[in-house]
Amino acid sequence: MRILSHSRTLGILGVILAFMLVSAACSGDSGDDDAMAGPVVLDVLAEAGDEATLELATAQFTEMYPHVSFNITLRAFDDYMQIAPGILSSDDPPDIAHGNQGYTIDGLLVQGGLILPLDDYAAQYGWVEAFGDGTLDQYRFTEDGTDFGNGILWGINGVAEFVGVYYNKEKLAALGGLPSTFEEFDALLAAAKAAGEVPIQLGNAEGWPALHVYGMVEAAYRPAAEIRDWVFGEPGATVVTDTERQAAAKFEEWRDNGYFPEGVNGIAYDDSVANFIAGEGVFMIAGNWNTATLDEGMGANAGYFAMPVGPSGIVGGTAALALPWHITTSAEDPDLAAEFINLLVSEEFADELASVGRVAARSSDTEIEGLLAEVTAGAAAVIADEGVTLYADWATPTMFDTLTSKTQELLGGQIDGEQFLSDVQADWDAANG
Amino acid sequence: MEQSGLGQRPLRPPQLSRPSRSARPVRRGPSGRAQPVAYLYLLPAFSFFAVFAVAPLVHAFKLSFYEWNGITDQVWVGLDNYVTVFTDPKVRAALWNSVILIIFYAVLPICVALAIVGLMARVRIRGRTAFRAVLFVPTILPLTVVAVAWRWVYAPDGPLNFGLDLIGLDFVSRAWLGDFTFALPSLGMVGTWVTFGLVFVLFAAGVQKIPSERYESARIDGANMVREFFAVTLPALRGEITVALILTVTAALRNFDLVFVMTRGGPGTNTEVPSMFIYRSVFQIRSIGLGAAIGVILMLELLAVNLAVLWYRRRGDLSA
Repeated sequence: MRILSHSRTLGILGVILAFMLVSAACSGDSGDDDAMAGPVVLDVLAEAGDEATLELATAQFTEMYPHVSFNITLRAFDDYMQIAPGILSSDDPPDIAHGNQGYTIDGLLVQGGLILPLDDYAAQYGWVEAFGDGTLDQYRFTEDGTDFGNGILWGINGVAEFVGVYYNKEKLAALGGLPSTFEEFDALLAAAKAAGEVPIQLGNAEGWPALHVYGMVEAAYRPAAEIRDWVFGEPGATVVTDTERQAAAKFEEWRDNGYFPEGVNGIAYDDSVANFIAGEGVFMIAGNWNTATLDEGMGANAGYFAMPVGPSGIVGGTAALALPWHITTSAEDPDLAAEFINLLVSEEFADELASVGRVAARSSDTEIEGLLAEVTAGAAAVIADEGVTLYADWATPTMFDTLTSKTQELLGGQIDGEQFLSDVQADWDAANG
Repeated sequence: MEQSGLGQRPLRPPQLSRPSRSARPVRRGPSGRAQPVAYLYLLPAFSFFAVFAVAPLVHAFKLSFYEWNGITDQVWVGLDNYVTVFTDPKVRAALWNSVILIIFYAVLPICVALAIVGLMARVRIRGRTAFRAVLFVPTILPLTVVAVAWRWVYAPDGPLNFGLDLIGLDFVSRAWLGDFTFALPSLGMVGTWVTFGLVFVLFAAGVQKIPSERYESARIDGANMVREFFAVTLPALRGEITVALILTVTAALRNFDLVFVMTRGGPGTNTEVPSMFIYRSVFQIRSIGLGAAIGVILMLELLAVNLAVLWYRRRGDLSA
């Protein structure tokens, strides 16, 4: 789901940082608290988007614990999700590894007994208080790995991967001010269309980008807690409600009004971002991992706000924390691994995430500027308003496929909002019935 | 095939004639039977084949009767996976799509290549070798490279739409791969582009082996170009057509690379193919047994189609 198109930028950043850190480490004096301990190597298997983050964190960690060194293996997202369960169940698993929220990765790792429960470490380091109880539910599974969102905490990450609204400042200024309610946002779309602009830039060739847009409309009509409940498959929850129907009808209206680019199902996600940078589109509802790309491409003309999902001005929408860090059951020194993970999610490190283009979920008072500051503020506002609605495709193992093909059919006019919802409900019922 | 008008029954093309028994250099023991030791020579190749082809096949067949996520214990579910496959309308649609792709991968390139080869028999084309080399290039390119290039060609602001707009056909231009009507044909045309070179080179080589006397006698008998094609060229190319069919039909049915890179089965489920389901079942849904079941069905489908082609060819040989 979270595909980082700016991994190259991150890579270059990472190389620069690594150089800086290596030279810093060479000149600095090393602590000698653990000088007695023998050398330890922590094996880390990670998704490639975190390359720069890891370089930053490992350098800090080895400064604190000079006897520890790291062996890091990186894989691109698709590749990672294919091979990670196999590597974790092999004879030579890493100590620390990324998982992915939901049944198909995290559920599997818990079922296979491949990762350690983190509840004790969470208590020790105060993670639950720091992030808020509900925020970490996405990393919870019952011990048998079958009930998502409940039970034991198995992983954690401090990076916010939130969907929000990027906008073209010049174009919006010509239409009006920042919207403080969803109705105002809706009115701005109509004004943009009337002015001959593309109201919402979107490329849905992959099927999932439209899901982020739909998630915003859904959040405008339904309380966030209710949406989280159906994603987690809580008892009594359901997909289709009257408010959900209103959301689908609104999305259909946006389609019929021509608020999306022509041929939206044939435009690749990366191309839509490029189109937005080139000045096509007033708004782009997309994940905050696009920030570096937009900052580079549009400079001061790019803005960002969290979607106002209610008349009260409350913000929210599709959002989650990044891929969980897990400690494997075969980790040689789980306490040391937990210490490293705590560094990754610590408040001090949160302040440095901006330097690798990442948005910290933990409130951070670092002096960041420009677009990233707006994005970080947006994430903080969503957390404060408890507006996180998670990623709908986590709901069932097949939901990603269902949603990607159904959003395309909905945008292509093959089905209407009602049909879209009943197809989603059918998938959900099959898994939760 | 009507051949009486030619006054001469065409000779079987050389590649189709079977070597005479006496010419076969098989070492035989005193009893006239092959020595058992001869089988030893087969052993290296066979063990390689057994380890890398037969064993995975048997393993996949076994897995298709289990429910397995790749980590926890395998659970025997009998034919459940097969029932799931055959009752899922999406899988049936994918199988049907793969049949449509056969038209683009096999039928279309073979027809076009035959037409051009037929023309070549009459018309001298300068720089024939150069043309052949260029036409063969798509066949040797990695399919992912081909897919990325064509995705660009079909993009809403790609060269295809640019060209259409330029000649005033802007009402035709569209987001080809996102269009519910045109996505599958657009994908199919890439398949045609890829397989055409191979088919054409096969046929062009085959035509060169036809003795020119046959064309001469056909012309003396007053055969026109069409007649000459059906009486001389087509029968002589039967072997090549069989090979071309087997290769292209196989490519059409097991198509994965193009779909994965260009559409991922979209828009909706319009370009779904069986191999996409195998990928999804195994790597996204993590139902390895289901993926194995689709794999087994796809293999049987391939086997059936190829046997049908071979059977048809053999029947043609006997009646010729």
